[in-house]
Amino acid sequence: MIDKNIVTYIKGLNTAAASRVHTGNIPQGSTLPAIVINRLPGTTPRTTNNTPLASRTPFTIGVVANEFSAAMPVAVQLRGAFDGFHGTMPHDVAELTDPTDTQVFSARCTSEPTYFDEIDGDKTLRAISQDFFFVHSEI
Amino acid sequence: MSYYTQNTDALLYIGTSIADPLPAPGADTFTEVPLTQIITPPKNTQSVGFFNVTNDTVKRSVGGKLGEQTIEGNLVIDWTTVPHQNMFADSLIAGGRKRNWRIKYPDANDRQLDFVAFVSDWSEEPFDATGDAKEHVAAYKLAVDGAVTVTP
Repeated sequence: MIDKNIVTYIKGLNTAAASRVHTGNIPQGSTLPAIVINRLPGTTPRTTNNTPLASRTPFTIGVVANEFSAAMPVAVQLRGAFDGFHGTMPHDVAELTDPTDTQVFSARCTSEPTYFDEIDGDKTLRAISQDFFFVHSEI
Repeated sequence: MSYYTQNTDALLYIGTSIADPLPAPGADTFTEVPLTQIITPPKNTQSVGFFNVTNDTVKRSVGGKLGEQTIEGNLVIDWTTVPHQNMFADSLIAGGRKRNWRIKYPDANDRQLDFVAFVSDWSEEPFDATGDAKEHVAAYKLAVDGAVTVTP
């Protein structure tokens, strides 16, 4: 599944967020910076033979940090990695339940980094959100 | 309720034989053409002649013969499949390589059309890096030779 493979791929980029890459939400109290990935509604067209073709899936990938200056380098690194990416996105070798590589046919950044603040208890976090559009095989 | 939808389970089949004359469809072997996105059944359009008479101002018309019939559509190219290889190769043969073809409808009664046709057009879309990735698609056109047999 591409969600897990994106997580694995980002962990391999050795960003300042290291292995703190999550889908959905970042657990409270996490060390920062951290990265959060959210899948947005997409489509998978089919042929008249009912064969699924490549999936078209947008993702929002956010970087959360204590300061914008800590989030920005990670966001830039993510954009450089995914904008224009095409090829195989390998699965995590430790992942036994979904050991499937994803073939990414194209990926591009569809929106420039967006800054926003996020209140976590009595603390204000800084976040940078970017949208990416993936055309990929989906298992 | 016996209506059906047009977006899935309509299938195009290509006959194996290229003999001259072709065998009847029942004696031929058919292979499903994979990854078809659009299959347009042949249309029935008669030629029409109109004429006037001096007695009144009402237009008269007479029907003629059935016009030319074609099957047009597109498919996602997979060069590892024999039907796609054959359709491409057939489109290069001067004079047209006739085969038996079949369209199966997705209705409950398994309506099907059998006809002899040749690939008169195979047009691949351009390779285009200006947008997101998409499957490489070819438009095809089959020119029907003779009558279309409808079953059941």
